[in-house]
Amino acid sequence: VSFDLRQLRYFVAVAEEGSLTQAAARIPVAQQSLSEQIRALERQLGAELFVRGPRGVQLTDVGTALLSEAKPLLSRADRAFERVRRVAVGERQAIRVGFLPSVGNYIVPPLVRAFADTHPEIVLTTEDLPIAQLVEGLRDGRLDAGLTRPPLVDDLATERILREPVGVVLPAGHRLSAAPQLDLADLADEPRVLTPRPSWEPWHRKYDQDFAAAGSPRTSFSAAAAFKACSRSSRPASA
Amino acid sequence: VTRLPLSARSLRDTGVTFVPLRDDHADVVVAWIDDRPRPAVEALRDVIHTVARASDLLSAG
Repeated sequence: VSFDLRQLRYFVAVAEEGSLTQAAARIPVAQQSLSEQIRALERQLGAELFVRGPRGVQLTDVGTALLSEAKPLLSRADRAFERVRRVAVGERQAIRVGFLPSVGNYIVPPLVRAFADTHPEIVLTTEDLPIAQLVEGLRDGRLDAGLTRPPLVDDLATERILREPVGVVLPAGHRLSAAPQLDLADLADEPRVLTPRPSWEPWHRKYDQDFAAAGSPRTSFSAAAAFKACSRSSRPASA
Repeated sequence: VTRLPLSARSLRDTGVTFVPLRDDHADVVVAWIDDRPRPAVEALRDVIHTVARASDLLSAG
């Protein structure tokens, strides 16, 4: 491969501006030099990237394909350069991550190890928090990211990490405890136990919606003592 | 009764039984405020997805 990142940057600028003149002003670079670099790129690829017209340029199919590859490539290159630059000047960044105790036991240890291996220039600190405090921490800037469970709130961006099966916890000897699998509808008449409703209203709303959809409209209730007895270390999946 | 993700099963072994629920699932997400570029958060997200692709995180619990 003989093209370089500079040519790709020029190409992306022209593609986004739809005009050599405007792209040259944005970079900034002399328009003739920009044009020569685009031509050089086209020669190397053996195809035209733009259709030139009196009102500017339009991407060809080859140009469209290159644009979809070039933008993430440049973004990645910029991040890599910035990361190395920080290492070079001894600058250390920090990231603070909050997590729910119920997700921390299996996600946090491998994540911390992998992050330390790949980003020694960033100091990662973690803190286990109840959901409401985790969201508050993200909103007020005390936390940079959280590992948690939806549903959350509209002002948070989220990406799914994994999806896991859900089960029901029953007292030993319960009439349903020998079943290999259950539906929510099977639990229609069972008293349901979960964390206090104010702990995170969106979870409770989803919990009630799921049971209502399964034909069990009774609102779930909080019974902290009973919850502690059968679930000492976790909290409901979507309650 | 209460409803818990499968990963919580390993946290208790006395006095209760864990029965899978059909077609029910719980997601785990990474969340952040998307108000400005956050290189460290982007790096974290990259690592999270790399780790999630490379290993069975549920079995680590």
